[in-house]
Amino acid sequence: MPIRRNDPSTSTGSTGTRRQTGGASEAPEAPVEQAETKGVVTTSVAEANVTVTQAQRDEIAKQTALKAIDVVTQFKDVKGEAEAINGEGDPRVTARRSAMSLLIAEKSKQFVDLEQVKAIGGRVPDDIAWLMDAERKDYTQQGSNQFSWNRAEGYGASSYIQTEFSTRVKRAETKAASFETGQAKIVDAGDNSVLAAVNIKDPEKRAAALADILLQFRGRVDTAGTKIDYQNNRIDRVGTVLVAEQRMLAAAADLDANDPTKMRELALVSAVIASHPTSSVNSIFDARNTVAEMARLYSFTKSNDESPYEAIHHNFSRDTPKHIANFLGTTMLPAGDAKLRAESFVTLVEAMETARGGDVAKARADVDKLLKKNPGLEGFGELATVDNAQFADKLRDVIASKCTQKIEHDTEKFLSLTAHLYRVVVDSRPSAETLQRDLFRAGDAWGEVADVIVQMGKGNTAGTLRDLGEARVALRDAIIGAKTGYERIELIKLDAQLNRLTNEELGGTVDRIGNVKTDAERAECLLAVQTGLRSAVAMGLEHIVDPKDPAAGKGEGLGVLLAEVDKALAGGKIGEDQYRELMSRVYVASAVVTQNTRSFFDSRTPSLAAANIKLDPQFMDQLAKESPLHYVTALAQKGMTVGLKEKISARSIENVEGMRVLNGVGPVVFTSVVFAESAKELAKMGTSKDQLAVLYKLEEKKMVAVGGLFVDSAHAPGGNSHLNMYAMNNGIPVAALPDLRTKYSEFFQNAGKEGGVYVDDSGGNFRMMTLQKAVEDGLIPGAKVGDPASIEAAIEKLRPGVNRSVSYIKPTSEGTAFEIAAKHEAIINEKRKTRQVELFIPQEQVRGVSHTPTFEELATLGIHARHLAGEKGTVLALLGAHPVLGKHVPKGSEVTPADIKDALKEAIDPKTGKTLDELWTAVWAQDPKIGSVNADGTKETNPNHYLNSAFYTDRQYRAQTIENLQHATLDGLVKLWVKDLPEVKHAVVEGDTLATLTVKYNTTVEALRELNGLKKGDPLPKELRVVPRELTDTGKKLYEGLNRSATLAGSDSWIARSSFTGEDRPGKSGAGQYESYHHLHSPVARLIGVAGVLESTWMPEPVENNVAEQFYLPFIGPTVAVQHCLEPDISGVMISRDIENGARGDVTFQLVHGFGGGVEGGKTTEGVIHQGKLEVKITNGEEGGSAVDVMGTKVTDADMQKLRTIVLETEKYFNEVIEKDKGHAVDMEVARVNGEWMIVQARVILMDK
Amino acid sequence: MYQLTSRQFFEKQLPTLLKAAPPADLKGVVEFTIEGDGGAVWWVDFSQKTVTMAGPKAPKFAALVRAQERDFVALVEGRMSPADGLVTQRLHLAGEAVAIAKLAEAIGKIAARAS
Repeated sequence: MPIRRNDPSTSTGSTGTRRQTGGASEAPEAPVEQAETKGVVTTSVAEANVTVTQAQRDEIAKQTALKAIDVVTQFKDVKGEAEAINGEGDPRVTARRSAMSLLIAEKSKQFVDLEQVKAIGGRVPDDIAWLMDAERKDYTQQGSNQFSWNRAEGYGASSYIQTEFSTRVKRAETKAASFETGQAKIVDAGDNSVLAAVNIKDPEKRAAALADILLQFRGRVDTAGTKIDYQNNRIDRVGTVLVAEQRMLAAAADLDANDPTKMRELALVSAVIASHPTSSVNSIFDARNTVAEMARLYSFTKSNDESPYEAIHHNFSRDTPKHIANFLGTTMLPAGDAKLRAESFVTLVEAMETARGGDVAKARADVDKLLKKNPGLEGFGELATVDNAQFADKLRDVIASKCTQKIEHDTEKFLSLTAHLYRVVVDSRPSAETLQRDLFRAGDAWGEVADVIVQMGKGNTAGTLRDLGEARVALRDAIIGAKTGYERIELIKLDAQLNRLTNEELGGTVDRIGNVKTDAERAECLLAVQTGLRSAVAMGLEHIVDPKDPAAGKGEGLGVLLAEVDKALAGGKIGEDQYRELMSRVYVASAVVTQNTRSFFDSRTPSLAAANIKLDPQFMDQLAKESPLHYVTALAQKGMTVGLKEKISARSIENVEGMRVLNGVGPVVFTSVVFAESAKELAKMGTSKDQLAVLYKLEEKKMVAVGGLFVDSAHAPGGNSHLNMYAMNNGIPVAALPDLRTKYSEFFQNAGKEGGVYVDDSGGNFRMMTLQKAVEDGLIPGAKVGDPASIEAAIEKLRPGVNRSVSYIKPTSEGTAFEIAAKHEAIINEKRKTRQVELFIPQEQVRGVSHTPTFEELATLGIHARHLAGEKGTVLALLGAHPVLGKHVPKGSEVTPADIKDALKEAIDPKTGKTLDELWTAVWAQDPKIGSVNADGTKETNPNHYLNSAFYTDRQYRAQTIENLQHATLDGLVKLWVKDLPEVKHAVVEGDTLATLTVKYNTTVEALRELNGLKKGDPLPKELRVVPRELTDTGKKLYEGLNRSATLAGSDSWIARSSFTGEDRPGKSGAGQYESYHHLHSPVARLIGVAGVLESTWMPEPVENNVAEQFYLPFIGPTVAVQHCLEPDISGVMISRDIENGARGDVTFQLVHGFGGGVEGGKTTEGVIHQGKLEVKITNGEEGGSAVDVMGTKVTDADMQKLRTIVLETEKYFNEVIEKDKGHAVDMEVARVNGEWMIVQARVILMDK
Repeated sequence: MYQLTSRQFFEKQLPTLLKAAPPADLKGVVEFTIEGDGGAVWWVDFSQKTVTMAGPKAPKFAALVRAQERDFVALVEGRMSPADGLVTQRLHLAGEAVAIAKLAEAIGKIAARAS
């Protein structure tokens, strides 16, 4: 064969030449500028240009063939069938068949003469026939008698397998049809089946189904389908069928490297198949026969689900690998780092085998390496002094001494079998040796895979990196080009090995390149980024997107960036600025792909949770860490600092050596810096969105909301860590700085004195300085030195936070659909991420519903009720009509925009003599600066744009205006609805309270107190002055309207609650900023309560927040939800997730005694309600607890489970109706009255906020 | 060996010092968590000149101080400076930058007056 890379024109067609995406391989050989030239990075890596010759490839292939022939020859005469039942199959038969399957692979033909192999004799010809029938064919759903190759009898007989298969086919057809028609919301893979996905035709639905299956294979934590079942979960029956299903799935996959949807299918199908414990019939029997052999040497506890014997024989499921790994970690080697035990055990056994084979030096080196990685393994250190001749024996004995149960017979064999079982079922531990063993399974990509083997064998790291990337692209093409399911599966499994090796190599680079100081480190960093990107492209990761995700599909494609990295490597040199900029783009693109993937899977989890499928909340983090992009992110973070010069002074800090920007958001100003050891301390002090938190100890999963975060580099994880994801989702800038506790104390002290901190991480630079210095340096447009007002105004746009794209929505004329009335972008800063917000404009009627509708009437409008009742009123009305939840909602009526408009038109401001309607309208129609205000265009293109108005630009004018409006509104409405009667004197008698007197005289507690000079809690005097009141005719009309609700008509106590149209929407919260009035006993008190809610339209807090966030206030209006006021013994807040880890199906609770209307201070009892289990974390303010006790009031576990059901049902209803298919969590306020839980409020909570 | 206990400091010495002149222009309550034998949690309001043992209803704190009994006593007796306490991590301060600076200054003043 010709030498391939030096003369591409003579390369063989079957092996292929270097791919076009692999620009590095075409790197010019001309000398490039030498390293360390200022401002230039030399990207040439000499080792990466060391090529593998065709002769070397051929040699690897020949060795592979010879090794396989050796195995076949060794075991050629072993009799018996691998599939014999009761574990009587011989593992040597499966080993022989495994080797044989390699020799009959298509690609082995050029190195192996099959006739000569047959001539080995013994059982070989029979094996070939068996393999052709069992392994090298695809199954069909309609096929009959497809398992006749199975010669076992009894439960494992072919007829049983065919029956199992046919049953599953029928079940899958039903599942697929149900899912496609929308009848079923998910595909349940509790039976470990993938067949439903084969039957789903629509690509989007199929992608959703594959996501469901993958989530269940990888992340399902309930026990469905994973218990011992002596018939249905037998490995010889179900395992064989699962392999058949996988082949059909792989064969049916519609793949094309140039089609994003088809690449998504490749990514998902590959992930599903790679998640299956085994993928070949022979390995099924290998596992079964190995564990049977183990059982002859060792007494497993057979009744235990998790015993390896049961996990293989009678409980073969997605949990089988978990159980095997658990056995290794808890029984065989319960020592050292818990996470490394299984892997350590296998390494030690392999070292024992290596020593037994004669290579003691390698065995010693492997043990030494392991002990460095897992230093907690005691007793193995003494091996250093053992003679070579005794090494294998001693190692065996030390391993056996760790085992918690005595190995009764042939210890060494048992250890080897256990390690083998782990490799077959759990983790094949890829290496050059495993790649070589499987080389002929690589199809047309065998040449590229051989390159990797050669490079690894030579220890050429750079060459390995480059060739891994190329091999992955070659394997992708081979997978797509493969004609059969079994070929595709072999390729996918091999690619999974390469992925793991790629990640190990990339991880090694991350460690080696340190702070990327030298040209060699920088070049290796770039080369590793190339490999990582190439792998990600080959895997189709960037195509895992939810088409309904508005944020997906943005940003640069990985392919574009890969081309630029290729160019930079091929060019031999690149400027430091360009290098940083490229790395910065790679970083962003990697983050985008990771978040798109998260969003895709997130879109499926609500439906799975609704189907009571419990998922591991860590799934996405684990998936992200198995992706090459995890390492690309860490590499790019380092690369982004190349050439930056560190400057640290008392007032500014730039480009700190060893720092990493974990999440950058561009220029931002924090007006305050807060220091704390832990997130818990931050919570104790309370933090604001404007604060930069400097946190010395990081607990990734326990972060609280802050504006920005600095952590110590030593504690900050690389890649897509929990912290990184949290920060990205929240738009929180996060930087990791070295020596955080000591290095910058002077700077932070000055920052406190000089108005705060300005941070800018844009353009690949990082700098921060005191706010005052930033102003002096002219970095804050509009801010003038010595002019606090100008500085305050200028930093508005630099405050932490995200941009918003706001749509104002109105109903269509017939009121059955929505349309966008206006849209604007509230951009804090161009470099920030943008959230979509929808606000519903108040309307005077929708489908004929207009004045004081009852909740029942509102519910007939569905979510169109938002225009009449805001979010709170709409949600309560809809939940009130829910067949299950309805009884848990206090009923009531709504004061709507039509009621309010009528009142404003009639009410007169006593001070100006104008109607309130004139005053409210004038704010927008007669702005002193621009006249009539509107939201057309932008403030740059439209002089009348609201953002140019005095109201939005002049704080003083605004403050005066709203103060006047507040007074006018309350005074005008009270006068409209209420009239005073002549004053009377009331002689106080026993039993009188202010509350009872308000009912008697139809007045309010406040009015009585004011008239008599009483403070809250004062004893009543002997005689009270009282001004009795009554409703005016206008007031009576409104009151009667509200009383159309039978609940209100029969209630002695009302609550008037704000329900503004801009309150409680996803991405736009006004919670707590408007007023509500409770315990309203008299008609007058009730309407004054309504007036109070309307007055809060003009309170400073909501107005200032809306102005700061650029919401268009004319489209945000009040409504009032009026309900019966509850008298609960317990109330509290629920969130439909475990807020520490985001787990669905769990409910976080916080309860207080009495009427809370939320949890505001006081002693709380807190915890999480899991399915069937309660976790109490705090009891009445003190840590700990086992049962729910709220200041002496007990709540039973059963009652808490009822609460969980209510909360999860509410979340489900939100996902089905209120925020359809959004998958949001809900935040609810609840109260317990006479033992029944009542829903006081429910709204979306964005867990990523 | 130290002369004082933190309890004596918070119950007797600090109220006297605060009455004479507050050592810090610090608004809000500062929580002092004294760990180890003899330790307790104390809430000090420098502007209101009040010192109380921690109660059931925690306010929002302006700053937090945490130290071992022996280190805290060394601090208020002037045997360990706030700066040394911070560097050696024997003294932990949490809070807004200005509040922390004022608090460190106040501890320095208390130590000077106490000694």
